[in-house]
Amino acid sequence: MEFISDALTNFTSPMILFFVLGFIATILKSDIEIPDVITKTLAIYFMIAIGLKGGFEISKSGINENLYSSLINSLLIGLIVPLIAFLILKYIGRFDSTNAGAIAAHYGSVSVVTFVTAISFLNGKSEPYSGYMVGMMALMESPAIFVSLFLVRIFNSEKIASLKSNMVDLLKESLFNASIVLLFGSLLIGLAVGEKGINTVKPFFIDPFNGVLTLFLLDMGMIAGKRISEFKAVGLFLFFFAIIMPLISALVTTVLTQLFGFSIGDSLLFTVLAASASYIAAPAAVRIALPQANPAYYITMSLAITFPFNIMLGIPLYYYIINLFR
Amino acid sequence: MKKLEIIIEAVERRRVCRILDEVGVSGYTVIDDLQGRGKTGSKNASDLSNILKSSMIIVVDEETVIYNAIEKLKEVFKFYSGKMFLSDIQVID
Repeated sequence: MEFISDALTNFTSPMILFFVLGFIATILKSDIEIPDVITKTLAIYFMIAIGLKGGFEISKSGINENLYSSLINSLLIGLIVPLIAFLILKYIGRFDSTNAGAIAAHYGSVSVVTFVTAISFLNGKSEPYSGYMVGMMALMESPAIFVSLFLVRIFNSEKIASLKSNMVDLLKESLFNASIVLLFGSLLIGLAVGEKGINTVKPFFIDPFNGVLTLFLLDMGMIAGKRISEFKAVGLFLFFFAIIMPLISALVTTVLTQLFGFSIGDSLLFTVLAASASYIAAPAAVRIALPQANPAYYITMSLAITFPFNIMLGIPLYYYIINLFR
Repeated sequence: MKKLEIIIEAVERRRVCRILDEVGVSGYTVIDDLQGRGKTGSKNASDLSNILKSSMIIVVDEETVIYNAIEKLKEVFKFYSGKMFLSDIQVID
């Protein structure tokens, strides 16, 4: 079966194996340590690398007619996914609106590294995708956070505490955070400099992409492994939610992308974006906007459950489902 | 002269500095990426988001300015974990 062979190929790629190594090393309390500054530098590297490549692809192919439907699709996902997540958490999980909204914001927002891993998967399959998908990712970071805060506001009789005095920080954090500025900035630079410009930075930003991803995923494995001690706080319901919610988001997005008629590559990237949970932008914005929500829930779920699930199993699974629809 | 040391979740660092500017302190020092453990669990700094980190802000100023700052900062501590330490201090240089 194609799915099993794809999943196996994905699972046995050096990137994923190093993620598993990092995870196991942390559980064994090994003293491998990657300094925080390096983790952050690597995250910046990926945003610049995919932004530049996306911008360059657009400069090559021009903007195709799918751009507008892609924009609508991004906004629809940003609206539908947090709404479904919120309703499940509130009415099936019986969580209070604040925690439901906080978690919904993470599942509606996107994970850059999951997206990067999906790009690496597509490259391995020689499956093309549109350059502007990087822009879609940047666009999809914030709407879900605001939709979730809006839901908390509607369902909470008392107003969101501390939000008013913190509005400036919240807006700064969710609209001009590092990933949005870097992704859009590099996309525009890639678009402006074209092939000649890209060739000058290619040896650093394009060629070593998978190697750097391997190092980064080792680190992510260690970061995820550290959250294991919080599993007890998360509980069974949220544990299963962290696996089932990506599947629900993926199914909704597969139907949407099929309706819009996107290519397989673009559909997979949209699906991965919808199924991924944010652990950089959303936690900071949610901590500012909803301080009463428990960070142990959302950080552990997105980082230690949903992220590993998506990169190890989710991506080949979504790819298989999208192909079933064709 | 009084010294106020504020340990606060990193996401609230900007707001604390804003409050200090508003009350007119003459200056402050910020130390980021703090690790440790408190009532609300451990802050181990190893994360891509800022929420598992703390920052420390050190202010030295006249007593009235410091007390004014403390009053305003109490609002931040209602929702975020951290500590404030106040001490008498002699400034040498």
